[in-house]
Amino acid sequence: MKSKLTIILALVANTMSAQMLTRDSEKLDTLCQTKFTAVYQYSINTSDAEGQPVTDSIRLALQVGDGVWKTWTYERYLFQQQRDEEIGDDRYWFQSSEALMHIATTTVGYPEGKTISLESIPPHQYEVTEDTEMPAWNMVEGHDSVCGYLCQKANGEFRGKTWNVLYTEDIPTAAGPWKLQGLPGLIAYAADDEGIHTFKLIGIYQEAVPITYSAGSVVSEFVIQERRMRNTVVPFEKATREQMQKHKNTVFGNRLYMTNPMFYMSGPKTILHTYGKNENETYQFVGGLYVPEKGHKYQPLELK
Amino acid sequence: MKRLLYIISFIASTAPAWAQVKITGRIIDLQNKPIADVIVKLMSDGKTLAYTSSNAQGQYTLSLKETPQKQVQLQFVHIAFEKDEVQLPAMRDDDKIDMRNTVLIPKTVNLKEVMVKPDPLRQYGDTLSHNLASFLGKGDVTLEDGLKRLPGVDVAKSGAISYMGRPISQFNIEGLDLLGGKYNLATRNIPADYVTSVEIVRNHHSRRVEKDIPSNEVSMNIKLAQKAKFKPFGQQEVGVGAPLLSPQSPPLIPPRGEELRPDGIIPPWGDKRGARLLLGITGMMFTDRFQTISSIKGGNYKDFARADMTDHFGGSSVGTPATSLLGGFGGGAPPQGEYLYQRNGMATINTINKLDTVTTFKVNADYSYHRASHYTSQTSTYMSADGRYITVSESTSPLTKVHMPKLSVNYLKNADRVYLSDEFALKGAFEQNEGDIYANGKYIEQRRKATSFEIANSFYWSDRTPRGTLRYVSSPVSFKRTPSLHLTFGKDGIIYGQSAQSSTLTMNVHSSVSIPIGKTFRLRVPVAFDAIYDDLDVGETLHGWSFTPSLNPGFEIYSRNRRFYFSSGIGAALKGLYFNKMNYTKPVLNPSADMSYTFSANSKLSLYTAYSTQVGDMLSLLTQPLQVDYRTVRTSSGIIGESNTWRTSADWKWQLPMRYFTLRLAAAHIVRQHNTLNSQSIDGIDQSITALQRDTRSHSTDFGISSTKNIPSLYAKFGISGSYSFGDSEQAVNEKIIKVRSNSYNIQGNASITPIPWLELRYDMRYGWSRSRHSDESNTTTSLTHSGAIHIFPIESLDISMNYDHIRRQVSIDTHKHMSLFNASAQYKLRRVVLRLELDNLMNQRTYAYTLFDGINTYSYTYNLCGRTIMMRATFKL
Repeated sequence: MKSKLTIILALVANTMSAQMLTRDSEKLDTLCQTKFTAVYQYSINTSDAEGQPVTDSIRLALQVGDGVWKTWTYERYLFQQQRDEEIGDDRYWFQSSEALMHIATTTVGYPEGKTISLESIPPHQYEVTEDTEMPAWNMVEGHDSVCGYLCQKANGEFRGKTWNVLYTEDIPTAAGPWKLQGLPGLIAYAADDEGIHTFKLIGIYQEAVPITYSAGSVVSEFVIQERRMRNTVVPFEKATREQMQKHKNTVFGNRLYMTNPMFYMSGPKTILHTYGKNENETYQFVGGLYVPEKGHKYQPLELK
Repeated sequence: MKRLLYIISFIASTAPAWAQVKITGRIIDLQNKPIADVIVKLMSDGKTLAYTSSNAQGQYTLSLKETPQKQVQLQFVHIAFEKDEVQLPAMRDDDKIDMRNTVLIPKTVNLKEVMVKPDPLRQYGDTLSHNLASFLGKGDVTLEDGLKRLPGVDVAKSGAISYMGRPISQFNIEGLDLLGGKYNLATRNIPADYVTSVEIVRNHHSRRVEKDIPSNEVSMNIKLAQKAKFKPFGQQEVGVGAPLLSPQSPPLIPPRGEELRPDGIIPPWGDKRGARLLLGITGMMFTDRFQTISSIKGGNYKDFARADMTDHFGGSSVGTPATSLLGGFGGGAPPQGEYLYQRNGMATINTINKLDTVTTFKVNADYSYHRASHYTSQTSTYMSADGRYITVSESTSPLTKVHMPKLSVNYLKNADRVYLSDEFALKGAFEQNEGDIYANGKYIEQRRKATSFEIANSFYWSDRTPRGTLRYVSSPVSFKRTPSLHLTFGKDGIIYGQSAQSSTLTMNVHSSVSIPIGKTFRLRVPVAFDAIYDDLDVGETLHGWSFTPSLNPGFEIYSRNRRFYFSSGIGAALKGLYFNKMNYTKPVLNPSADMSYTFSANSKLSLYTAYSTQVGDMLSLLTQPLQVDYRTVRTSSGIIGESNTWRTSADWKWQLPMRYFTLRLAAAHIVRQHNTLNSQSIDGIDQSITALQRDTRSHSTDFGISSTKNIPSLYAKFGISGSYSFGDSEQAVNEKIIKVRSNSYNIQGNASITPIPWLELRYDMRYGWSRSRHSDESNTTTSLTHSGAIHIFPIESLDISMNYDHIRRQVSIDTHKHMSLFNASAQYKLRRVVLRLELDNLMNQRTYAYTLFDGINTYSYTYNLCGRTIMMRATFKL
């Protein structure tokens, strides 16, 4: 019986994680077709729960269309492109990095003049809509090369942080990773002056694929009476940028978060455990969202 | 016409209304649809004065705070349209220009695509995960081949793996420690394409309860591909070959049973004719709950079977007082090339069961057999009492046979709050050694036979309370016995010898409590009681107990951000020795301090200093002379041996994982003091070594640097390392003290690169220089080795390789010997079979020679090597 329950839980957990890896079951709107997709290695220098310095790293895909661009986890992009074999055997590891690094999906230019971010504070996902804001860039003498593209230097202030960037006019677009944008060429490298956050271009695909948007997530549950999985679309919670910033600082910035990332969740909660490639790697999900066993020090991208 | 319209509109809009120049407009395509994200730049003399981009309606607004003095151009760039440029006339202050519609013509701009490779390297905290396929070369077959290519990873000839200069302390497969130190069994038998990633865990903790305690350990975890899981797989190896003998380079002395020819010419004995064979089968299975690797191998080609049984963490051999007192005459393996002849075999069964997520049960059973013979000549130059040098020349043909069975059973619970381990081990060593010597025209027989076994149990319990207090109890118990060890020597018809037997019972109980006080301080109170009973009979009997109760109160301090760490302990102990020859009690202090500063996840500085006193080398109580080989008699001091060591070391590691760069700097200073000093005296060729009751000191200082850099796009890895050391020590000749100073440096560089897909080049250079000085004499030796390999891949699955080693070793003050070893191979990889033709020692280099200066003495060695050999082997995937 115990083993059957474990199988069911594992099945549920796998399906729950499919909420985050959506291909068919989610109703997606196509915003536009991409002109190209840029892939970045995004790293955060921070510290773990024991205070030891650590560097977390994940790959992000920047899909660039006409006036709309979307930054999200590369593995999610691969999954949507049905390039499963490139994700590798372990479908969970990147969700662990996403949770530790608090990765959001950011769509700039949709609706026009707005930026929509899909943020996660388990057990909820929040949709944050804000006016698109351009960093104030200053051109700096000097150039460098990233991925074989000649790049110029620039720096600029954006929401409390100074960013040093390299952009390439060989790829004419104002796009850049996350909310960094507005230069006369693709931003190929960006690092804040504290050396905490770094985006580095590692790939370019010239392709026309849809940039999608979803207003809700699919939550799966096993219906015992019907002996099947039932999927329902749950709309995202809405929040303003200020509310979200405050909420994230309160939760992720709390000293308790490092040792107990569920400290703020009151009342009963359903924690689903599943295993990665081997049983040493257990993953816990609350509300379909991955929650790490221990947190890393929160390093916000926006201070203002 | 269009441009004329622009100019007209420009003139029409020149009325000053704002305090800046402002240009507006709209960009459309041929279908009159707006184009978004067009980069609009105002240029002058090739410089960008201002820029903006168009919105979803194709509209743009460009503002300039200062009016340009020169002619300007308005440039429109988009990834899917042809670039357009409009020349604007000179502007005036507060100009407002409406460019109206600008029509762009579609054109596909081809971007230079950059493929995203599977992350060659991922970093999660202290773990670096290498995608092995990103580093593999075409000719790589085994996991070990792949490991050699990873940044910062070094795989020694023995198979020992180290990361940034530190040997790994644990080797896991899918998170389970199946093999302990015998991980060659995995690295040399698991195909490289069955492994997806190799994880290197820095600051590794083998016990999870200690995970917040700083650690310098490094472990490796192998993740397997799905095809290697849940079903058995393995490989079968078969090989047939033959030595290609030639009449040159006869062996140095006649083997047993042979006679010298009257003319003094030595006939070509030694080279074993006949086939070279190897046969082996290895089976493995890895599931989530169960892992096994079992293997049986045998052969008479190189160390085919023996290599898999190397225990890199030690603990497989059985060392007893009797075997350490009366060692063998093996002579060691030649530093380059192969034994003249060797035969080895092994059988092993290893299983690990996962009882739950934190508990495992492991059984390792193995047996190995090794038989090796070779021929060496040695010239030893000793300083005599009157300062003159006496040279002894001898040749030997050692034959060594060793049988080593071992069984160990381990239960392990490794949870976050509790650690429990119990390991029972049973091991034996059955050695037979024949080290016949041919010296001064005479033939001297040397024989050694030793049997030893050990029964041991090791218990370790540790737990962590919710408040963070860490406690442990460990209790290793072992019984080692050498029931018989016989040395016999036969010279001029006279047989003489030495026998020994020994038993050692060791019982230790160690315990500790580590209590956190606040967030930055931790108090440690370890206590231990060690009891050892020894019984040694070497014609003279020595037996008694050694008791050592110890208390090592200490503390640990962390900075609030955990970057700085300092720990210290006083290491108080009471050494009590109660032997039939002497009772002795002495309190000692072994203080130590350990400090580290973590600059970032990839940069750490560690400093360590410790003073330790070792008391109670029981063997030094022996007073009767011992015959340790046919011409050497050793006499101990008869007093309790005591040595004090003060060691200080510093180590800085820096790495840029995403740039595949590692750098390590290390320095160490060691001062040793011992209460006895060995004094040598030479009479003819006989050597007598006597321990003098006199304090002696030695100093040594070492510096080291090593760095590696990978360029994955070229499948290239570069490494460089260097070391420098100097020191002094004392030696004695006929009780006359001689101060010896030495210094040495070594440089090593290596590179492997794949400049074009069908060619791979490897190069390794090592240079060593050492000098030894005493009185007015100075001796210097140098060695230089160039090793190169060329791999050519005419087709994807065929690897033709040539390996070349050129060695230049100093054999006397003015003489250097050049030796070349040249091997070639052709390897053809099919889906389930790897066929390999090996041609070893093609230049038929039959000797390897070098000289060592050991302070006042000089030793020159010449090894005979295995000659030209051909081997055809096939490895079948099962």
